[in-house]
Order: sequence, then C-alpha cells, then structure tokens
Amino acid sequence: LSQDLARSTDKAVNQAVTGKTRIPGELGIWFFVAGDLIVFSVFFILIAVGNRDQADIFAQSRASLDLWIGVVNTLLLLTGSWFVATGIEKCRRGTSSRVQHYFSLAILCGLCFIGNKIFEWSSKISDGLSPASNDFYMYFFIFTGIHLLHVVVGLGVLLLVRSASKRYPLTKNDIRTLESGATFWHLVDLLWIVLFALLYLL
Amino acid sequence: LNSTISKTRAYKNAMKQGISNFTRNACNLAWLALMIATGIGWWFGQSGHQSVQGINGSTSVAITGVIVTAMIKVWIVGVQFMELRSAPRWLRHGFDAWVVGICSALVIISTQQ
Repeated sequence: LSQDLARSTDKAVNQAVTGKTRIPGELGIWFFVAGDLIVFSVFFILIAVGNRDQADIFAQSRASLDLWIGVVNTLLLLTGSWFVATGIEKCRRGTSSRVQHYFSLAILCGLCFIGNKIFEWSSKISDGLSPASNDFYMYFFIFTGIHLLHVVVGLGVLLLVRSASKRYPLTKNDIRTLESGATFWHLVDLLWIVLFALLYLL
Repeated sequence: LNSTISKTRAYKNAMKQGISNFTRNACNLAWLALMIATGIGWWFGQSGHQSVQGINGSTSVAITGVIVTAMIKVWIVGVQFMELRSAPRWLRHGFDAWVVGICSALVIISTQQ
C-alpha cells in the first residue's frame, strides 16, 4: 500500500515537473475563487467610481490613512503566501520532514496582519471616523472588513493545511487538499493587493 | 593574512552560492518580484499625491502606474503561487482575461476627468 501511495505522489510531482497541465487543488475551489473575484471586481469598480466622482473627499480621506500600516500588511501577506507556496512545493517533493513550519510561519504572518488591522481600525474609530463618515470610509471599513473575514477563514484553512502536511507519506488526495487550502490563502493575498492599491495608493 | 583572505573568499563563495540557490527557485523569484513591485507601486502613489499638490505634472501616469503595478502583482500571485502556470488553458487564460479586463476597467474609470 505504501508503495502505491508513493507512486501516486510521484505521479503528482512528475506532472508538476514535466509541464503536463493539471488543475491545482480541487475544481471546486476554483469555482469559489471565480465567484469571489467577480464579487470583489464589483467592490474595486465601486471604489474607482467613487474616487472619480468624489476626488477631493477621497484624496483627503486617503491622506488620513496610515500608509505604513497598508505597506506592512501587504508585505506580511506576500511573505505569508511565499511560505505557503514553498511549503506546498516541499510537501510535493517530500524532501522536508519539518514542512509544517512553513505553514506555521504563514499563520504568524496572518495573525500579524489581523493585529495590524485591529490597531488601524481602532485608531480610526477613536479619531471619530466610521463607515458613516463618508463614502471613502464606508468602502474602507466594509471592503477591508469583508477581506478581514477572508483572512480569519484563511487562518482556519491554514491550520488544517498545517496538520494535514504532517501526514507521511502524503497521498495524491492529500496533496490536492493542501493545494486547495493554499489556493484560498493566495486568493486572500491577491484581493488585498488590489484593495491596498485602490484604498491607500491611488 | 593568508588565512583572513581565504576566510573572506570562502564567505564570499558561500554568499554567492546562497544567492544563486535562492534565485534558482521560481517561488523565491516571484516573492522578490512582488517585493520590488510593492516598492514601485508605492513610488507611483507618492508621485501622484505630490502632483495633486502641484509639484509635478500628470496624475494619470501615476494612477495608471499604481493600478498596472498592482495587477502585475496579482498576475504573479496567480501564475506562480496559485500555480496557474501549469493549469489547463481555459483556467490560465480565464485568469489572464480577468486580470486584463479589471485592469483596463480600473484604469479607464480612474483616469476619466
């Protein structure tokens, strides 16, 4: 049985190495990704339209944001994604016995992101800013709030990925589950990249 | 003196080897590109804010720079981290189409007067 498992893992590795096409993770996760991308596309367009129609209000409100918090959170998510991608690569190759540490580091990045966000939100709220202040802050709190929910769910997913990565040997199905979890975490990173650009940099 | 020189050489070689091992991996390169792109996006944003205050010329270039840089980052995350590079064509090109579509829409809306 262990030979069969090793063979199926080898097959997954070979597919990745030889350039044969395959869907990363399970097909279902990609339907979720597509749905989320469509929903967030609407959010992105709404921010851009608001920025065009209420340029002064948006510019003033944006100036009151702490750019450093946005930059640090971007670097945290990008680095978290890097840990997850490297962890998945190592799982597939089966070369590292401590592969779960990569996922632990990604979880740490996610926790720091949440801590940073709580600090940012509480300082804005204590300054008297809320979703009712203006359209910019409405979008800021609602869209980054929905994104924060994704981060929290993503951390739960990463905890599952971390414990699944400890199995040895990893079967083809295990690898698929790990890839699906990783895909969700990368989606969280991807959505933040655009939110950061539109809310902090534009 | 000779031992100091050989130690420095060994240290330099180890550094070179480390850097070359790091850059040989596509995941590491993607992370490096994303970090640099974050810096570039930030620079575009800052230059746009300065031009609002009348220090320099066109905000449209800065706005386009911020959006295009962000969408390039999104594409790198999709292709490299989400592994769309090895995905079937419909999935890979579907993602490419979304990136180009949303990037164009955001640039057009944001640069309208």
